[in-house]
Amino acid sequence: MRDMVEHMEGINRLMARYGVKFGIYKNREFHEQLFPFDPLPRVIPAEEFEYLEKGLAQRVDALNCFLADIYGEKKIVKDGVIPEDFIFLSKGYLPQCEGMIPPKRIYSHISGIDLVQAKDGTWYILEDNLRIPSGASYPMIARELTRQASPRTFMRNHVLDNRNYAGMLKEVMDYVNTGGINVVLTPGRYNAAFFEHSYLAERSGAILAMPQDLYVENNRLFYRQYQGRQLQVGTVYRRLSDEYLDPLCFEPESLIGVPGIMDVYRSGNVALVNAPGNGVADDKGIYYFVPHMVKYYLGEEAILRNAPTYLAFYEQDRRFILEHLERLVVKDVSEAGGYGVVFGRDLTKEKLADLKEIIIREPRRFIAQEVIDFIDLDIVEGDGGVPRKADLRAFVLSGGRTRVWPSGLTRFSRNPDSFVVNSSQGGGFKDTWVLSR
Amino acid sequence: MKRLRFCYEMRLTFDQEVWEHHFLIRCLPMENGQQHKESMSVKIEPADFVNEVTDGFGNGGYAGSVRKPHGSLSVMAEGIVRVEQSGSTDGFHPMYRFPSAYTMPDEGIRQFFGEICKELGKSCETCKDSREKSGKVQGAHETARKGCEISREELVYMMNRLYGRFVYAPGTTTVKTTAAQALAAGQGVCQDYAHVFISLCRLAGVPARYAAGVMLGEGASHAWVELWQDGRWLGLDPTNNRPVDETYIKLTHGRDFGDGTIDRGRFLGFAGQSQKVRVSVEEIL
Repeated sequence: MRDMVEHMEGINRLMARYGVKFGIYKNREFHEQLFPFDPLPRVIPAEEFEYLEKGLAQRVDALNCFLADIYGEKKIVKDGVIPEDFIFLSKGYLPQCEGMIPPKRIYSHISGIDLVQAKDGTWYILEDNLRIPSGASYPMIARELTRQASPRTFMRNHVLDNRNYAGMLKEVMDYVNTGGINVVLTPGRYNAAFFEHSYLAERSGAILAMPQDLYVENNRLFYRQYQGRQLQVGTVYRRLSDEYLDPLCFEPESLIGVPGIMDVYRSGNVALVNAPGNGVADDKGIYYFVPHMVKYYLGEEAILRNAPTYLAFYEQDRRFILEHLERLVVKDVSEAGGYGVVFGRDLTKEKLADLKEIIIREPRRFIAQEVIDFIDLDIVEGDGGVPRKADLRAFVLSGGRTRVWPSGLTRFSRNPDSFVVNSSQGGGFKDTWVLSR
Repeated sequence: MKRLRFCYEMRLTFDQEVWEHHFLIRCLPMENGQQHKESMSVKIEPADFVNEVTDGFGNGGYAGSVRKPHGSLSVMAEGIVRVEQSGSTDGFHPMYRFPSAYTMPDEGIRQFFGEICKELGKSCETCKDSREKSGKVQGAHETARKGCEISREELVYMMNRLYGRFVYAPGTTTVKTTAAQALAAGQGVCQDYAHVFISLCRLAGVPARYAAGVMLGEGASHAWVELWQDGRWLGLDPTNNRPVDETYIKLTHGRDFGDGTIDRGRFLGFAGQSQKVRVSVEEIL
């Protein structure tokens, strides 16, 4: 371990050189910043990972069933398990996707599930990311560099290799491919995760394409090569959000996107990874219902727990929230990336009263959760270690079967008093070791 | 039953050449239990290719592109449609219960709705609620209300009231005008009448959708509203203050104007564009 700490500076320097960066929009300006790497890994014993793997695969399977149901028969709504409001008022519900059946019926191919471990050891799901979860590239490259810097560490410890992520990704892309090449579609250089797009394309053997490199002709999607040769595309791992994907289908004023791509997709002539419309399954309001989905679709009890959550929409819950606001964390369901999160204990009396009024006025907009006192992980600061809050983003890949990548992105807050670990809020990351025994 | 001869002509002219032009045209009569196309021909020029497509709302259309520089695009569709009001309509979808981008109610719409309810002697939760809450900002997350019993006659009364309150005035609104803005201005075109009426119906708990189409005569395209009543979609035309009958042909529908746009496109070039649409529908006796 000491070995790793010694290499910390060198590794961070190398990552800066490779362009392992994270982009942030602040005051409408694009800033790129390094995503600081801490060499002390999070270590997950084999047995614990096995438990997580089962629970995560179960959750993602249920979420995939839910998406197929919502854009199809809507049985879960008709049966009264989930109120209509949480589907059809959700920003992530896209009626344009009604009746679309994605290749192999998979909606969420790459799911980023965020978890925390409480001090008593219990794991809780914090949120599901089923649209374009990013972050896998960071532990991938960090592992690669630390292996080079300190091969002995990995010989002595029994750490599962995590360098197969790109292979798993390729397997998924090949599995859903409708005939043609695999493409990673990036909005371009000024996207927060551009490094990741190029890295994953290179590692998985896919072509990195910008929107203008792709075009539709006769209900097929093509990639334009240098000399005008055209290659048919069978899978698009798109890192472009739904509303910008196709100006003829979604946001009409979007200047990016590939006109007509949604028609090709609807015809079953290309696979989009992940499917458009997935946002209906990962907002903070629908989160409350995921354990119900597991029961409803799979007939099983959910293995992994949600953090105790109250839905202001339900009168009983709302009353509870209003009475206990100062100890809860309130989240705006339409926000993401650590925005719209308020801890009751940080608010003044007046602010608490204001918040209560907003909750009463717009109950559908808020959930409240118990604050989980999750474990600290040590990070290196100066000559020693200091404890900081950290979560884990697990990557679940759904192809022929549902698998969990034996690693993950551990993000930590650099601020000792903060529980918010999102990279857009200035945190750092660690490698995640899964032990083979 | 009526047999109607249908003709839709559209010409898009650019003041300079454009290229990489992608379009989606939805100018064909819908095929359903109430409308049947006996014959139909479509010509779109110029085009590298044209494909028939369907969207998530059940609207059909033609998608295609023109890569080479060109100065205009013209569309011509004509044929014969059989309209049968008593035919079955398509099924229900819950999305039509909820406010959408163009139809989000504001204080003004709520107040107007409250007035109408009062006149109708309704004191249900929705109306009371909307009166109490007017003055407070309502967000997108407002829950759609259910369970307000409102009859067909009462809906027609509501349409009447809107017709009396609103002035038909072309050129005063744009394709971006929302229901709230239109009602505040008190004037607009068929699109605005439809948006305000949809907003009112949804406040009353009646699922409502936007229908774009054409009606007997010559002129431009038209828009009206369909309401879910007693297990079927019922057409009401607030611009003309009358129920939809067999002289109407529906082309598209959706939550509001944005979903059922008859033509959509994107091109490269620094051109200004002008659009001419000519629609004619005549009855075959």
